[in-house]
Amino acid sequence: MSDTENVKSKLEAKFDFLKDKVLLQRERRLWAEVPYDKFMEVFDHAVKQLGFAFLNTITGLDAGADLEYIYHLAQAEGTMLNLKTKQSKDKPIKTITGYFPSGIIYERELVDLLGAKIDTLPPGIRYPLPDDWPDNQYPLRKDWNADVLDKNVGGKMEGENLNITVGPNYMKEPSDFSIAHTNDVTIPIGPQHPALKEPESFSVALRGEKIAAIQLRLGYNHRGIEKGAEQRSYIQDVYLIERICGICSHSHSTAYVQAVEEIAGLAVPKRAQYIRTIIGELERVHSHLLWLGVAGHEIGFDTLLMYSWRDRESVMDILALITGNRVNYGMNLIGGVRRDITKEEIDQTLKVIDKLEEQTKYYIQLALEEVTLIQRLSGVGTLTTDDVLRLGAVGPTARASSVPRDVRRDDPYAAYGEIPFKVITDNHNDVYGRTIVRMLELMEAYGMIRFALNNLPDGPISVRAPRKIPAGEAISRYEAPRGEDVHYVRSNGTENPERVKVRAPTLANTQAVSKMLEDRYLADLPIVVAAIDPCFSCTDRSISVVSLDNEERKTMTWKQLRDYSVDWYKKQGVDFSKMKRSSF
Amino acid sequence: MMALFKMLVFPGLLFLSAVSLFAEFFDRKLYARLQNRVGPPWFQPLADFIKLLGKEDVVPEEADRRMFDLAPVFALTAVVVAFLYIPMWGTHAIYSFSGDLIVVLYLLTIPTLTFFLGGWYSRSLFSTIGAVRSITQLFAYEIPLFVAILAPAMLANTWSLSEMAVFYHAHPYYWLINLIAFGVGLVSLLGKLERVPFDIPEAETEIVAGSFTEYSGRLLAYFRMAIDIEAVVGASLLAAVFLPFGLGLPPVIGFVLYLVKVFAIIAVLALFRTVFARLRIDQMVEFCWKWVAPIAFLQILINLVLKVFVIR
Amino acid sequence: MKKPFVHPGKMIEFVLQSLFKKPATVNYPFEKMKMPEHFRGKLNFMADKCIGCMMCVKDCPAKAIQIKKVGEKRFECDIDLGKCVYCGQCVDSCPRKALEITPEFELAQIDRDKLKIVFHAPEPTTEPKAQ
Repeated sequence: MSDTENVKSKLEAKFDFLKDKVLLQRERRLWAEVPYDKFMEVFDHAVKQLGFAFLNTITGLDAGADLEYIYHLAQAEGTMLNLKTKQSKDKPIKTITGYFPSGIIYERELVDLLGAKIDTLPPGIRYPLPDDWPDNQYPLRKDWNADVLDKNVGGKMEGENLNITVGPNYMKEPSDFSIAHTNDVTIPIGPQHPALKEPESFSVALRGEKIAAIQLRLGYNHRGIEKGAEQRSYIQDVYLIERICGICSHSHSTAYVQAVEEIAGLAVPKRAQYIRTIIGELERVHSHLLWLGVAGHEIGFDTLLMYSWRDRESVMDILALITGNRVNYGMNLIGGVRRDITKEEIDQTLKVIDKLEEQTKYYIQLALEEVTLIQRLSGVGTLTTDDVLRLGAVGPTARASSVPRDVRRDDPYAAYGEIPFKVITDNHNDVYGRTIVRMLELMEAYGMIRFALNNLPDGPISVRAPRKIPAGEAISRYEAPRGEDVHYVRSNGTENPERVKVRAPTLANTQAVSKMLEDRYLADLPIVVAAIDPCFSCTDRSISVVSLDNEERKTMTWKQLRDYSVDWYKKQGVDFSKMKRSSF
Repeated sequence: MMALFKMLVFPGLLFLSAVSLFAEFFDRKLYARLQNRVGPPWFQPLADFIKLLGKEDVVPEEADRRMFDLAPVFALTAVVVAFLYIPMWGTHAIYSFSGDLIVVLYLLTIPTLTFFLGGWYSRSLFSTIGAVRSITQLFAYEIPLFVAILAPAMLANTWSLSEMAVFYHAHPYYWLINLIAFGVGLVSLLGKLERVPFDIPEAETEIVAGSFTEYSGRLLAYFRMAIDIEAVVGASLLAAVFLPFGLGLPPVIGFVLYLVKVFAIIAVLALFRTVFARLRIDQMVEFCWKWVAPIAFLQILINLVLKVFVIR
Repeated sequence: MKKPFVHPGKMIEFVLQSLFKKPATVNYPFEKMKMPEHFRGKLNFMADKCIGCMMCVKDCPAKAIQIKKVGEKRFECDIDLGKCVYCGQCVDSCPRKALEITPEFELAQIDRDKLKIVFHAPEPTTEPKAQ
């Protein structure tokens, strides 16, 4: 009996009401629908007794009078158990942060976007919507439409008379961020800051140069992709999902397409799988070289930035040659890939890979020998193995703490089942370890690309996919360069999907950042944040507010708004007038 | 009249500005070429300076206006005055008196103080952190620098730069004794000029621009010019103290030799900028006190021994 | 790999070599970058092949293409280059291969309206109908 069947029988044996109701969709995928009153029992049993120690994400759906919640759990060996439950829109559900502290961000997302009511959720900053979002507007509900926000557009932007309409909920005070001593200075890092490639906000309370407390706020890059995906057809969605991120675009696109293919029961030809894998690994090479440059820049080592980005250009040229574009490759199609790889392209790719391999060997030597690099990266951003398991970190962040978590091996997809590779782990537990993991993964990727190119099977590159996908659901996982990327798709027989849920790897890793920065220096913040390789474009996907619609409206001029925000920051403890005292 | 010409035109303010702008170009071009890039054209620093002069000065409301405005001016003045006492070619500077070495060293400390004051009185969060880091860094590199410069002065038995030049001219090859101190001097100069690996007060990825975050327009132009001139003055000082050879050559060749020395030092600084990552402030202080300062004292010891027993 | 010997300035020899190599920078716009043949740039519409089935309009993820009927079997195509994401789905969806993708990518304009381009329908033929 396989692992999956094992789990199924154990679950059915323990709970009578689940007898014959646990669906074994395929290898490593189990689905079970549980009424809410018995839900926490089943959840508890699965987590504690059956070894489902990892919470991938929680999907919420609008099901008429109820809200449907799907908790996606995974075992270290790769089997996924998806527990579905329904609860009426006005009744609350219990929080699961007791089992998974990292689950808090998924629950906050449910509260914000779907209006779920969750009991005993610890207080904190909302995610992903901004503070001035009007009440009772839940974007992911089926009856919600963005036009509701357009009704009252604020004044035109002309010079000084920038009239911005704010509502009474504007900038509610985030709770639980008390600064212990008056000697602490709070520094806002972000949303705009030279260290951050994408906007997010860290409020850092400093004591001298050490970080006393840190509060993270995400959601600045939220664009409404999940809602947008529901309003477009499957074919259009391939391109939409691809544009969630520039550097992981193939990851998202492949994960989505795999889910849809699973629902439609399409058998993707082998050659297409191999081509997808090759592009995926080339993307990984691109992403890791980019990361190397960013890490160099964050620690002031611009030379490393210049050289690694010069090498990255050769990968982008190859990708442009094979796929037709340097980023957002557009290679995937539901049912296969759009373009084939010719012999000349294969030869050119192999040449570039050889050159890159030599360069990467040099960078590895550099990381092992350059003393300033080692000093800046070692001992910084420490995460023990327990921390990783508790906070649910994924990707190289987890693998640098000796947690061998890699979806390509645990839950193989595309051609990974047939290509030999090693899962790289390291035991340094810090940013230095993450650097080593990423660079050794580069070496592995070169090997994988060579193997795939030399053993490319013949055959067609796609099968025909119907426009209307039959009703069903599937969850697909992909090892993006940053970690595990999870896509859930539910179809309802029409040309548009019913629900698309994306959980990008950076969302799982941000929980770990606060832990990593405990008791470290401010100077370490950029490199620690950079070390999880943040891609906030992947993480946030909401709707930008054009204006607000509130009963009580207050119009402010630009100067008033500036004064308002200075005042607000004063209440948070960032008070420039305090500088007059010699508090240093 | 001659004095005014010497102070303002050659080799004073105008000449010094021209050389510093060219030195900044040289440094940036070398940095770029070492990174396989093209780098800016020769007029880039001049263009930057003129552009900044033409921009509006945006001053934060909370800043102390007087100190904010004066800090760059003090910085610029201090470095230009320091240049007057450094012998370039031949053995005499424009002005010299006994003890001018100490005066030059103090004058070179003033820019760092003005970075601190400018950053502190900007009242902005990032500026304050940058200012504090500048001062902390001062404690780390200043002592090694002073001690390193003290060593050749001790050997020459004088506190005047010009008389040191005379001494070394009279005893060729004596400057080879001071090479250890030269190494220490180079490292400390990196700290003083706030260059990688010691550019923590101005770490772009951490605190935007450190002390200079709130500066813009004219005042920023003066600060940047002061930093450029500080680089040339620092390099000239090192050249005068540690590389005092060829001082008897006729003026034109001597002048060219002087330029070669200065640009060689700047080239070495650019190389260091390229191959190192930035150190954290605690690592930097530890490095300076654990390694650099003892080596400087070692040189003093060597010089003492040589002076007492070998040279009379 | 060689055994690591930790010392500062590891990159010095590598970096000094670059002094003698040609810079990696391409002197754009004086030197143009050459894009590969199948690079996805601007679209081209061949009006004589279009049958007005509107599949391209339906499948465009960005609603960047519009087909208008201007006469008997004559269709005009409006493309908004600002909205187009250059995915090429319309090219794949067209049953008559009336759309193709060219490697032209220097499409920037200062005026947003100039980004809307129109491919006109061919002139109507004046051949008399067969008797």
